[in-house]
Amino acid sequence: MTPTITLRHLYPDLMNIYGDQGNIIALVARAKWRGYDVKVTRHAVGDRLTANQTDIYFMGGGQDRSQLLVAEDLQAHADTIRGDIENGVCALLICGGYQLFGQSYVDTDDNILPGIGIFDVVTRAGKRRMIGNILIETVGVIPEQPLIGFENHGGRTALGPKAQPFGRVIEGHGNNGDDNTEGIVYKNAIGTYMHGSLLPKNPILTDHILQSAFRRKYPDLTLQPLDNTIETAAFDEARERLR
Amino acid sequence: MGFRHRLARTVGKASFRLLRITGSGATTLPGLIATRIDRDFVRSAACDLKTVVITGTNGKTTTANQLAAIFRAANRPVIQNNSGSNLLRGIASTIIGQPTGTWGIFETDEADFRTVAEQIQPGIVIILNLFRDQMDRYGEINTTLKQWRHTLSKLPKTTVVLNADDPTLAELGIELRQTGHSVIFFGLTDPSCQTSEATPKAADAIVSPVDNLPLTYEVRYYSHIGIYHDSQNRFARPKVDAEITHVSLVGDAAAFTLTYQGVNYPLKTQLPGLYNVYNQAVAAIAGIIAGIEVTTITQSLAAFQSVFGRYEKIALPDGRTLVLVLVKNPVGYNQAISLLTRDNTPKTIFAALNDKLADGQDVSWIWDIDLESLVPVIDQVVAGGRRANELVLRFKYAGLPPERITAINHLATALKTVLAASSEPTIYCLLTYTAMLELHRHLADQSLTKPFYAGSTT
Repeated sequence: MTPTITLRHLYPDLMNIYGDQGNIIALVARAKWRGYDVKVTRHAVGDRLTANQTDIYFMGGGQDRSQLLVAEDLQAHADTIRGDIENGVCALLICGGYQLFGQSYVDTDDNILPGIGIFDVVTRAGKRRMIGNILIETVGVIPEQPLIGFENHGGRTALGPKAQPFGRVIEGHGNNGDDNTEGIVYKNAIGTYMHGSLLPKNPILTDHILQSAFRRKYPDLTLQPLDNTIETAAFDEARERLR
Repeated sequence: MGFRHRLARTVGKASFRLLRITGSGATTLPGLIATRIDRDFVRSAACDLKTVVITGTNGKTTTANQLAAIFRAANRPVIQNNSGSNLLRGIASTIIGQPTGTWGIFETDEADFRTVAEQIQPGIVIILNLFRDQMDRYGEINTTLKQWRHTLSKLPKTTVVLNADDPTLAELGIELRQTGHSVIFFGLTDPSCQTSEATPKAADAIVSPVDNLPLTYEVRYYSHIGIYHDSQNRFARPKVDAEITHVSLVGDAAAFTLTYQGVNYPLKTQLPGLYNVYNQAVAAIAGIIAGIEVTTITQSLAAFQSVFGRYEKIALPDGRTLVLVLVKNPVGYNQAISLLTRDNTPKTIFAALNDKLADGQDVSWIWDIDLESLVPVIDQVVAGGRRANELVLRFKYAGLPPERITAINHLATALKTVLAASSEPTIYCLLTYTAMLELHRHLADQSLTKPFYAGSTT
């Protein structure tokens, strides 16, 4: 039987504004090219969510209006998702998704929107949006790997004392524009402001997520390398924008 | 008119002549000079005109050109800005360059609508649709909605013509009516035009303004355009004042019926695609509001040819044809794809992606395009522009074998390559905004097309 994992796309109708679909496309394609299967399941507001049924959680960014609704629904599943993440389930949370997996989001009027607290981060709304191409070097998840993306966020995210950043900013703003950190890593979950889309141009990260997710379920499975010529050309071209 | 206004006009005009003598387009500089001398230059000039301002994400240029054609056919002198100059200074340039007219037709992008509308104080505002587009520049859909609401609230005498099939515009129109605005809703009622897609493509997260829950669609035409209601029917597609029915799309043409104020208007157009039916219908509605005779409107619509880069056909000396399609955002791209997939013949595609300011520096939107649907009809792709390799990556992940894709950043070289590599009689060019301008300039240099500024406003 074809090795198969389940990717749960959280709120695809509401949280999808920055080409987030590209990340799903990349995960599915790179598994398929190796003869494996990533089954994508959509989770919408009001749907049930059961523990131990997911290998990768994914959530993208949304508009402010959608984010309120999503935050509320997410609370109902906080324990389930937290349990899965503690057990080593993979997750990629981008932009709004990253913020909602944190402790809280504080808007310009000091209203607090609670997150589900998986990431030890607090986000505050800022006045000026941080927009542009971004280059980071990963620190935790894969050693010192340059990754390229595009960021567009008003929120300033501060990491808690023990939180491990996803990367160090080389060009761009990152979590808050001040401390040179970008995103967060907790166990196999990654939170980040990088879209672009992130995964197609950064195949090393895509394969890292796939490898972790498949290995949890199939301990002997090792992903074979793929030809990344086109991916590398797109990465280099995007990197040119920063010079 | 005051001294400053006359001075602004004189100096602007002088610079306009100078630029034309030197062969430049003169699309913005004279206006920039004039608005520097007199900040309210456009406001005073627009006082003498009856004005229509057209905005929205897709279809502005086609609609503006169609409406101008209707006015001209009715012998009403029109001044009109072209799509390359839809900022205030571009509009000022237009006024300087074409000083005679009783009607002014101005298109403006989502973000500049505020400045333009405040200066012009338009009699009629047409808003076509609102899709995600260049989020690094415009922000999210609700940001644009807020700006439009704010601007229109200060223009109580303006008649606002809105697409009822776009929930964001319906929300805007319902609010405007409550504050006493004259609102005309137009919409399409024809279930046969329903999309066959299982999941909506490039649909924005449109939620009910009442409960913030996603809307239910009885009929979805494309993206988030359709007939919809919310969970408890407290928000739904409003009753339309001008209704499009009986649509038939045949080849690159369309026929439909427009019903307005109890009269049925059978209309025909040579433009392809359902989205153009909306554009043509709203131009007809504005013509009717302006009191133009039905036969003039019908004939003008039937005769109208596609404009600059909107499915524009260019004949090459070797007998082949380039079809230029401007693709600026996911919804526009998907519409181009639906035109190209009407038949199964293998096609040569020339696709160009730039990431200049006017294109949007964030190219992640190409991952929202339904490129997977295009792959079955592709023979080969040459990708050009500053982000050619990103586009090649997108085609690879859409399932096109890498050996059938070539990336060449330099646009003219990329075009040369595609012409040499393909033996197809037609080459389809899918281009972002600045890539379109660049290609047009290149073709004009070879005398295959007219220069950009001579194209649309004569």
